[in-house]
Amino acid sequence: MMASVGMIALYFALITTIYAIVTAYIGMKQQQQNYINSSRGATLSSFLMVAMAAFVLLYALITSDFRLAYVADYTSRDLPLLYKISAFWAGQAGSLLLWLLMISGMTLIVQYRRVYRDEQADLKIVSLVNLIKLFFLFLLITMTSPFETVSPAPMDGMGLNPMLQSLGMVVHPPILFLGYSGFLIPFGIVVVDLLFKHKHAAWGEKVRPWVLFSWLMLSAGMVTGGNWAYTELGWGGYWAWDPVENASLFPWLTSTALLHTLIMQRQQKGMKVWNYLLMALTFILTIFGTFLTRSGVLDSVHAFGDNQLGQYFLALLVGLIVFTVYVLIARYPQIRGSKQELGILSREAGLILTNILLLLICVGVFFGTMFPLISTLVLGRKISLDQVFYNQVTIPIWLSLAVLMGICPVLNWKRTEGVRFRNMLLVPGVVGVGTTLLLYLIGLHQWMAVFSFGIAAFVVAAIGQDYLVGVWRYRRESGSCIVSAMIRFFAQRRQRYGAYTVHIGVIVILVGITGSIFQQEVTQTMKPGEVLNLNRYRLEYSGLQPLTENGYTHVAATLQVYEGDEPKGTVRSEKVFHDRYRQPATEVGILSGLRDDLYFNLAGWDGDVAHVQVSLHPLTSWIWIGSYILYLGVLVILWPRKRQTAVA
Amino acid sequence: MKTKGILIAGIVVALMVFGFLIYKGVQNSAAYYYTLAELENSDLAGKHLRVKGELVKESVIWEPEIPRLRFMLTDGTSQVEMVYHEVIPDNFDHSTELIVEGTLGEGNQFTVSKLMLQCPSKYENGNSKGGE
Repeated sequence: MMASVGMIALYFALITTIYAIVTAYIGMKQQQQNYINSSRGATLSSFLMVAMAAFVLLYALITSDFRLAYVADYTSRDLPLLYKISAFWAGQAGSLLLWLLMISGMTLIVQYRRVYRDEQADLKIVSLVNLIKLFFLFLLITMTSPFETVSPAPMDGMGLNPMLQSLGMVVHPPILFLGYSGFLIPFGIVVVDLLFKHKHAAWGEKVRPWVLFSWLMLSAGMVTGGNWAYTELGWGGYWAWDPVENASLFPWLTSTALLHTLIMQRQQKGMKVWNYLLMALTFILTIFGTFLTRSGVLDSVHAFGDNQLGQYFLALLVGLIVFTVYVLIARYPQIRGSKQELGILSREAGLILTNILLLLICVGVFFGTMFPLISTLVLGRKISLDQVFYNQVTIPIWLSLAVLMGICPVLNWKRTEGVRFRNMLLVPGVVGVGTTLLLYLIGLHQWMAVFSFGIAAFVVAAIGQDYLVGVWRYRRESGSCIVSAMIRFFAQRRQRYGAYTVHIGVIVILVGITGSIFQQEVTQTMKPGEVLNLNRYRLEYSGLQPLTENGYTHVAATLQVYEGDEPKGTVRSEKVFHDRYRQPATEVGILSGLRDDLYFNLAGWDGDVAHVQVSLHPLTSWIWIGSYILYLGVLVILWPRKRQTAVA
Repeated sequence: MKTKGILIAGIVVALMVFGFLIYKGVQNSAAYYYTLAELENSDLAGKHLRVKGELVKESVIWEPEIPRLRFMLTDGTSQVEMVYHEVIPDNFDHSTELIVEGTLGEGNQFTVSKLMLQCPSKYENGNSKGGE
């Protein structure tokens, strides 16, 4: 019964989507308002139908309706409610439905906000999105339906893989999906404005909030994924340069580049062709990422295995590339910019260089990710590359980008006076070089780390100086007190200092990542009462605590942590066994601090003797702190502008 | 004109550095895909290799005190002994298909530096982060 309601909802969604596209076409062709209204209504109904299908699946998951194969495959009766909900996106069909729901919701925003109503742009954008929706509906109805039934319904489901029973599974996939799917709308906005030669086409303004929002979600998706891998999955790290991880990095890199050159477009400095290409590339790369994960062409720890969905995404991919190139060729004369002088010491040059570096990283990572395929074609033997490759190729570029973040505040549009350039870089430069030397002198001899910290200090000093000098001037002119000057100066230049806040966040993340150079690890067998020494820590093992409850058996080991003689707390790691699964789930114990994280993994035991693996991850918490700063910066930029009060 | 010259020179240098980084990176991290049969019959000592095979369940020996994990990989006919000096992954026993990276040493024993698991279809996304 439930299953048929869900299935019918999907069919209705299909019909209303087709109807919306057709009536939009007729309505625009003949300029008939009733068709247009009807099309908008159909888009709304289509959203409601998709939402209904999603609700049915959610309801079935929560009520453990095992007549649905999907529910039986991914949940069980004793699964906590939160994980029953997150099972929504544990499988192929559910995650496609979630994606469909997200883009359907986004069509409504386009449809009901007045900015998109000029020249009926909303209808055209929504129609394009509706075409993509048809693709997802087609897959959901014919290839991989979440509403397939099993008869007779099993008494209990197979349950969710223990590795997926964690908070990371609840937050990471939907956030990442929002990032992925969000790029469809700005892509639609650009393409529509170009194709229909809109007169009021200021797409630079219109796409920016969408790109920023999707960028924020993509960033948050990657950070939550890394955090999940680090804190819960016990992979020991937050990033492994795995193909699936790289797949989310590609659109992140291109959209980061886009955000920078969009600044130029908004300042009437051309870049339209370039930005169009970056926009299209970003969207295409989200589909490419999906293709990589669904097709199984590359080995990944996140493997979904081979399945036929890959070929459909490949077809979509090819179609999109052809379409993008077509639009470019057809509209090139319209968007081509006039030649502009480009000063070496100008903000334009800085932004373009940022773009080049980001794209170089993208090319390098892409090359590495695809190397198994490339080498098969070229050398006849499949060769894969690991993190050594990615680190060697990208670290110098990441660091160059970081240096640019420090130089950019100093650069003016068009041209920067050499004297001003030198004067303004003096203090940050001294801070940066000073930090580098100081760290070297106190005994830090890993040159990569020393450099990285030096650059971080340089950037923070440069941005801080830019802000404080501005505040100082503002205070003198307005005569306000220092605190109010600091706040008001920031608020008046929200776009600029929001962006710098993001940069500070990135720098804090850079410091956190640099800390991984100093990672240490010990593996030891310990009897109760024995002590393990790691760096400045002393860890004392007190014995195993087995515990059985609700079908789960926990075997936990606790280590008392001391720094010198001072107790610092405890770390506890456990293996959890469930009657249902043969595999245990390991919970690592982390004692997190600003300076370092103690990371404890219970590897095994014999009676009371524990085999423990303890590692020290310096500065890792900076990554999470930096990400919060980054989110904050984006929110500052995205915060709606106050209504302009009319000035007489 | 001068600006343009500097720009082009800069880009050329950057691309050369980039090309060099790629070249060195490939040289330092390439893992060559070989089949288990090839491992048995050729001299590949010292080369960074990547092999796929099926886990021989009965062969798994896990010595947590070292830590050391030993197991055999097979492709149906050939079998190669693997040694891994890290903690056994949670879903190891559960896996059938394995991908390993490492080097071949004495007595045709393969020292694994990186272990990747692929799970049977029962959990479509066994070791994955869910649904991208």
